[in-house]
Parts: sequence; C-alpha cells; structure tokens
Amino acid sequence: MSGNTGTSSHQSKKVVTKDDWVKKLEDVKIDKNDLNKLIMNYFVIEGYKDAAETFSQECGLLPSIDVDSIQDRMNIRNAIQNGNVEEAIERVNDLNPEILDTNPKLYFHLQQQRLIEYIREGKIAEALEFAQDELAPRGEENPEFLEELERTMALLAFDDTTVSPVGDLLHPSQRQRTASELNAAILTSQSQEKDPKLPNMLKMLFWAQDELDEKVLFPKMKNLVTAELVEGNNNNNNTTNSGNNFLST
Amino acid sequence: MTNTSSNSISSRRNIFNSATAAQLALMSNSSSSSTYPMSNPPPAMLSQISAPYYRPTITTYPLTSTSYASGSSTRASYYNNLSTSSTVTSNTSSKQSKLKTQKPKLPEYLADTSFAELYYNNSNTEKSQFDKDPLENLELPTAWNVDDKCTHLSVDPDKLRVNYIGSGKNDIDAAAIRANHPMPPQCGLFYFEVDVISKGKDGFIGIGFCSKIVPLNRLPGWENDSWGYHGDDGHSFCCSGTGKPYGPTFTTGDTIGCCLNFRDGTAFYTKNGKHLGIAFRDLKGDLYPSIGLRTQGESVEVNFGNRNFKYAIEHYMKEEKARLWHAINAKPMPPISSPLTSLPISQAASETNLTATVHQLIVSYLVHHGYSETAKAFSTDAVQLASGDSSEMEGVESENSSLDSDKDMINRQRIRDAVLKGEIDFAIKLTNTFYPSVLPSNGDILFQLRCRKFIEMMGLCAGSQITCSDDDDDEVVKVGKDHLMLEEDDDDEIEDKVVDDDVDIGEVVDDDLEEEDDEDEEREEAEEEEGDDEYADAMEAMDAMDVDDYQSDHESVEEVDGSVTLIKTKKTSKRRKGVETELNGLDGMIEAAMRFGQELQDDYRDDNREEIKKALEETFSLLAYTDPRNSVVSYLLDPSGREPVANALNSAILVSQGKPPIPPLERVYRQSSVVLNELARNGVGSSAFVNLRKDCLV
Repeated sequence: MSGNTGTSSHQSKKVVTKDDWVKKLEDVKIDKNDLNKLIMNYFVIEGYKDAAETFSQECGLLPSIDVDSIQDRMNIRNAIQNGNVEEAIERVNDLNPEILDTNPKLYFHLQQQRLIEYIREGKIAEALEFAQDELAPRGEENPEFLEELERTMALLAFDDTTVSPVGDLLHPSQRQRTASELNAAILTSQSQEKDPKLPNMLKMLFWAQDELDEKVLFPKMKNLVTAELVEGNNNNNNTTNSGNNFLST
Repeated sequence: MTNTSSNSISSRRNIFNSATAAQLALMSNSSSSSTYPMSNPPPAMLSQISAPYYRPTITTYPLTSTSYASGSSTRASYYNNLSTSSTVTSNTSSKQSKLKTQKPKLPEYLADTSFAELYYNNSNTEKSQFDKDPLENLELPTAWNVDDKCTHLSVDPDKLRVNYIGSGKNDIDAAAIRANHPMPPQCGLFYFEVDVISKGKDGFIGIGFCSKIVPLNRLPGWENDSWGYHGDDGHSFCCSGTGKPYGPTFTTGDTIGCCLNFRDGTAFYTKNGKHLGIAFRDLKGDLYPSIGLRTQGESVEVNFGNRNFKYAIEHYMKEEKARLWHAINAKPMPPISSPLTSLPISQAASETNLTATVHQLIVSYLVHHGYSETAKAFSTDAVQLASGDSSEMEGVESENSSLDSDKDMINRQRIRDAVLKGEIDFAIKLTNTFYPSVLPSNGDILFQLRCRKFIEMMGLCAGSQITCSDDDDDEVVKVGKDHLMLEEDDDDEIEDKVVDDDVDIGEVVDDDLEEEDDEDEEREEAEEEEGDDEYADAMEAMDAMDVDDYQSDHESVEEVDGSVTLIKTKKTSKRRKGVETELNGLDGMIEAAMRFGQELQDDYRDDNREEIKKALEETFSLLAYTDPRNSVVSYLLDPSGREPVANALNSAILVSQGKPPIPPLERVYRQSSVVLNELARNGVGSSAFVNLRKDCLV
C-alpha cells in the first residue's frame, strides 16, 4: 500500500499516519441520537413511512412531521415507480393542484415519463399520439423540453434500447429520478425540507477527501459501505499521472 | 420517570437520612471483620472521593487507550466520547461562552463556518503534537499593528483609526500600516470595511492587503505581494506602480469594503455597501489587511467586524456556500462495487449509486444497534419503492442477507434494552446465554457492567424512598432484590439449554409483552416503574423460553437458575401484597447494595489500571452522600449513563462475531468530521463553507 513509485511526487505533502488519524477519529464527538435523527430525517423525507413509524417506536424519536403526510407522498412515489404516472398526477392534484400548475418543468418530466412508459409497454400508437398532443406543444415553448422530447422519441428508433445511447431512459433510475423530483416538489409545497441530509454527508465526504488529498497524505474511505480506511497512496488523485496509479493498484 | 419536583425531593431526603444511618451502621459493622477500604471510610477518604467530581463526566472510565485499529478489542472509548456530549453539553457550552469573552468574538458572517468550530474549540482542547502545526493560524485581524507601521502615521488608542502625520508632499511620503494578524484562508471569506473619516488634502488613500515583508512607505498595491484600491482615481493596483481602472473614486464619508475569497483566491471591493466586482485573482499566502495614506489630514477607521458592515457580507457568504455545495453535488458517486473506477459516471448512475450506498449504510446501522423491526420495515419499504429495480436492489439484497441474522439482532436488542432499563444482571445473563465468550474475554466491559449495577442499586435505594408510603412499594423493593440476587446465578448451565433451543426469544418476549399489558397499567402508578414491568416480562420470557427443558425436569430449576424461582416468588407475593414491610425492603436493598459494593471492591482492589481505579472511585463516591440524588455525583445515577455501557457491550458482542465495533455510518461521520477539520487546518479556504453539524446533521 505504501512506498510505491508515486511517493516522490508527494514529498511536499504532509503525511498523517494511520495511528494519528485513528486518534483523531476517536476524538470526534457524535451522539448516537444525532445519527438516529439523521436516519429519521431520511425516512421522513424519502417517504419510508413504515420505517419511520417503526424507527420511532424502536429508538424513541418522534418523526419530525405527521406520518400520514408521508403516506401521501409514498403512494405517489409508488405510482411512478410502478410506471403508473397518470395515477401519480391525479394524486398530486388531489393533494394540491398548485404543485403541477406552478411547476412546468416537473409537469413536463411527468408527461415525459408517461411517454416512456408507453414506449416501454410497446404501445407505439399511443406513444406517438401522446407525444404529439401533450408533449410537442410544450416542446415548442421551451427548447430544453424539445431536446428532452427528441431524446425520448429516439427510443422508438432502436431495436435494442439497452445498447442505445438513450437506454438510460428505460432504466428504473429514470423513474426514481422523476419520483424524487415530484417528491421534492410536494415537500417544498408543504414548506418542508426537501433534501435528506444523509446523502449530503456522503457527497461532502467524497469531495472533502479529494480536496485534502491535494495537501495531505491520509487514510481515506473509498468504499463508504464498508467504511474501511485505505492508507496512503493516491489511486484516486487526479493530479498524479495515471501510470503511477496503475502501478500502485 | 424520575420525579424531581421539590416536594418529593425533600421528602425523599428525610427518609433517606434514616436509610443512610442504617447504611453507615452496616458499613461499620462489617468493617470490624474485613479490611477493605470501602467499608471503613475515614472522613478523609470521603472528601477525597467527592472532591474531584465537581465536573460531571460519567464517561471518564476505561478504555480510552483502546485503539481503533486493533481488531479484537472493543471501542468503548468511542461511545464514552459520544455519551459525554449529552451530559457535558452544558459544560462545553459554558466553556465556549467563557472562551468567547476571552477570544475576540468572530464576525457574524463566519458564525456558521467550520472555521468557527475550529476557532472556538482550539484553545480549550490540548491537541498533542498537532498543536504546533505551523499551518494552523486561527487568529483573525482585529486591529492595526501599531508596531508595524510607517512613522508618518498615528494610530488612535482603539487601534482602529489611523491618521496621516507626515509632510505629504511626494509619493515617497506615503505611509502604510498592517493589521495585527494575517487573514487565515480557512475562514473562507475575510471581509473588512474602512470608513474614510477625512480625505485630507488630496485623498490619496489606498485600501488593500499585503504580505508581511512589503515595505510600509508605499501605498498598498505598489509593491510585489501588495494589492490595493485607491480613492483618488478609483484604480486597482496589483503588485505594480501602475493601476488599472476598477471602480469609482472614494472620499470623505464613504465606506470601502474589501473581501478576500479563499475558496477561489479572488478579492473584491464594495463602496457604501455596493459590490464593485472582482478586483484581483490568484491570491495566496499570508496576507495582512493594509491601508496607506499619503497627504495631510487623511484619516480612516477600520471595521474588522466588531460593528455592522454596510455590505451584506452574510448574504454573499450564503451564496458562496451554495456555489460550493453545487460543486459538491456535481461530484459523481462511484458504484459501491467498484469505488475506484475511473470510468465516467453518468448523473443517473451517480444518483442510483448514492441511494444504494445510503440504504446500505442505514441498514447496517439499524442492524448494528439492533433496531430489528425498523430494519425489516425499511427493507420492505425500499423493495416496494424499488419495485424490481435490479441496480437498486444491489443495496437491498445484501440488506436481506444481514436480516438473516435477525435473531442475533433481536438478542442484541434485548441485551441493550436490559442495560438501558438498568437491569444489568439480566443483561449479563442474556449475554452469557447467547454470547458466552463475550464477557469472559472482555473484562473491561464486565467491569463497566458491574459498576453500573452498583450505581443502579444505589439509585434504587435512593429512588425507592419516594414510594415508601405507597401500597405498591413492596413491588419496587422486590425488583430491587431481584436485581441483587441474580448476580449469584450460575449462567453456564442455562446457556447450554437455551442455545440449541428453537424457541425464538423475540417472539416469546413479544407475546409476553402483550399478555402483560393489563398488568402494566397497574404498575405504572408506581413511581419508580421504569424498567420494572419490562424486567419482569423479560424474566418471564427467559422463564418461558426454558419451559421445554424445565417442565420435564422441574426439580432442577432451583439449582440451575435461581431467577426462575425468584420470579415465581415474586409473582406469588405480588398477589398477597404487603407481605414484607417497607423497612425490611429498604434495609435489604441497602444491605445488598453494600454487599455487592464490597464484592466489587474486592474483585478489583488489586487492579492497578488507572481507569479502573478511577471508575471505582467515581462509582463509590455515591456512598459519600446521604442523598446521592441531590449530590454533586447525582449525574452518576442518571439513566443516560446506561447508554455508553449498553453501547460498549453491544460493540463487544459484534466484535466477537467478527463485525465492526461501530457501524459504518458512524465511521463515515467521523471520517467526514476529521477530513473537514484537516482541510481547515491546512488552510483550504472552501472548507469554511461546510459545517458538518449544521449541513449534514438534523
């Protein structure tokens, strides 16, 4: 792990040994309750209602908002994740019609998702009709929408969409993205925080490790799921040349 | 749970005084036959014991030396740290406020930065070798340095106002002054304003910054490593005698602000609260605020943040923060399976990876702490939401495999619950039943448990005072006795029977809980009900669990497990209330507590480890007070002290199974905290815009 050929380029860098680093880790003050709250925050915002309720019972924390309001959002999210965009739109409008009225981009994305679902189901005729009636007029208003629409329609051009450049539209993460956008919009309409904090922390850690890497050699966490410390060398450092990286990995 | 209204306190105190008399009598009795120090407390020792504990930290005891890196030992120290934060919050905050008066208060716009945390926490913690870190500079400019100026300047006693006193005929008569400290890059932004009190004769006023070595007989910006904005022509000067058109001119009555942005190495000025655009780029190094005057009568006064600024720097700070978070969010998240991948990651894939990572971290956290029902519910929810999504399932599938160790999780949860309810013996019993190797190989944890048990006993003695006049009190007392006597159980035998048993303890306990619901109501009236019914239920669960074995072999029950008999006795006597008198009960409890205390003292008397000695001393300090609940050591009795013990035990169990002692989520938090701190330490300006507690915790 250490003493590779890359070290010469790090000579100016300060080095923090694993022992020192571990000492610092131990000195960090963190209350279990804070982490519990962090998880509750994720459950509530992302709409994991049962988890939020159970967690509340098991750890004694109260969810920050009314659990029933989670149910509404969860139903809507479920509808989208199951490909039932129409139901989701109905439910949102039942909840608060202003959400879609005041959010043309979100509404477009929902309609786009509907189109994607038609294509997924092989309902080509419906897809074409829907695109012409509902999406094309919006595309004319907004070039960004038009581009998205064209990209979506390109799905029809490929026999095997999985290898096509637009295959990602059929990937479940596309549904997830649409669902999240809608979820966030509902939360905003209810004056709730719309972003859970936990993902922030993970992204921040990746960013901060890269920043520090330019100044200091220290044990990093590359895999957050195992959260194991990887010592020393810079396989991830974009400032060293890739030749060294291959040697060291 | 703990009724601390003044009424009950006073009544408790009265009753306890008589109890203490009994206690002391008991102690002196036994001292005649034995020699251990505890039973023979000379006054000196008592005061010795009580004196050092003015500061409520329950967590000073063991294992602070345990290393995180070594595989097998447990990391109780982690949790010791954690738990302290709740008990000592008031302490640190008062420390902080004290520091704030000693140290100059930070300007408002820096309040939420990670620099602020570093700034306020730095001097109160002795940070070993890193203290001397030359990279670390936490002082902000707060005034002009009267020893670092040209002789043509005079400085008012406030060290903020500067007046020109030279002849002012020529450029060689220019005079500058530097601030007392350079601007530390780790504060992210540094902003100061200068009020032009008088433009004097010609208003040749320069406002800017420079390094330490720049000569001070020149206006800011005219030399290398010197930058300035001049009032007479509105030009900006970047290390050169020739300026460039930059902004408006300024004169008497104007307020000029100067801001260094250490995130991107730029500087901009403001005039009367209005942003004038970026003046300089690629700034680095230790830079001191500086102003220069050149003609007679010129006078300026600086504001380093002790007064309100004309310009809304807080707002700019927020914008900078948003920009940084935008950059952070744009960073792609690698897939869990190949975190080192050099392949480009699409936005969509990055989001999926992030979600999967988050889910795995949550599940491992829930499993770690034994939140079994939540783990199940979350997995169900997540699966439902993912609805057959294969990549999403990456996270969820391995969740399910962790859920296979369902029983293990439930066992750990039961053990944790027992500790958290103060039922230490039951926790020990459960631990020995399900994880027989853990306590024998973790003497430290056993010690912590036993100390806690003594504390619980003392708490029970003090607490039961309240209910002495109640009808229900015999119940409370008896629970106390159960506590005490369980210690004598032989756990080894029961464990053999239970381990191969197919009975799911979780179910049994749950069923039991339901059955007992009606009885709960009745018990809730008892003041010190906490843990009581649950305890009995749990004991019955043990009882029920063993039923298969014992039914056929009922005579062995008493030999094998005293608790089983005890419970039955308890249940019977509960139906004929008031069999034992209150005094007997209380005396019995105190006596048992004393006996156990002596045992504890005996067992660890020869242990010379500092942390053990210290913990013992702390624990026994309870004896020094007639009413420990209202003494300076009352924090020991606080149920919050159970949490670190429960955590340490849970960790030890996990470690014994080859699992990490602290959950990955917590390690991620710790890593984040340290990395951010190191960024700040190393003068990385952007670190200031991230505040882990505020941005990443709830």
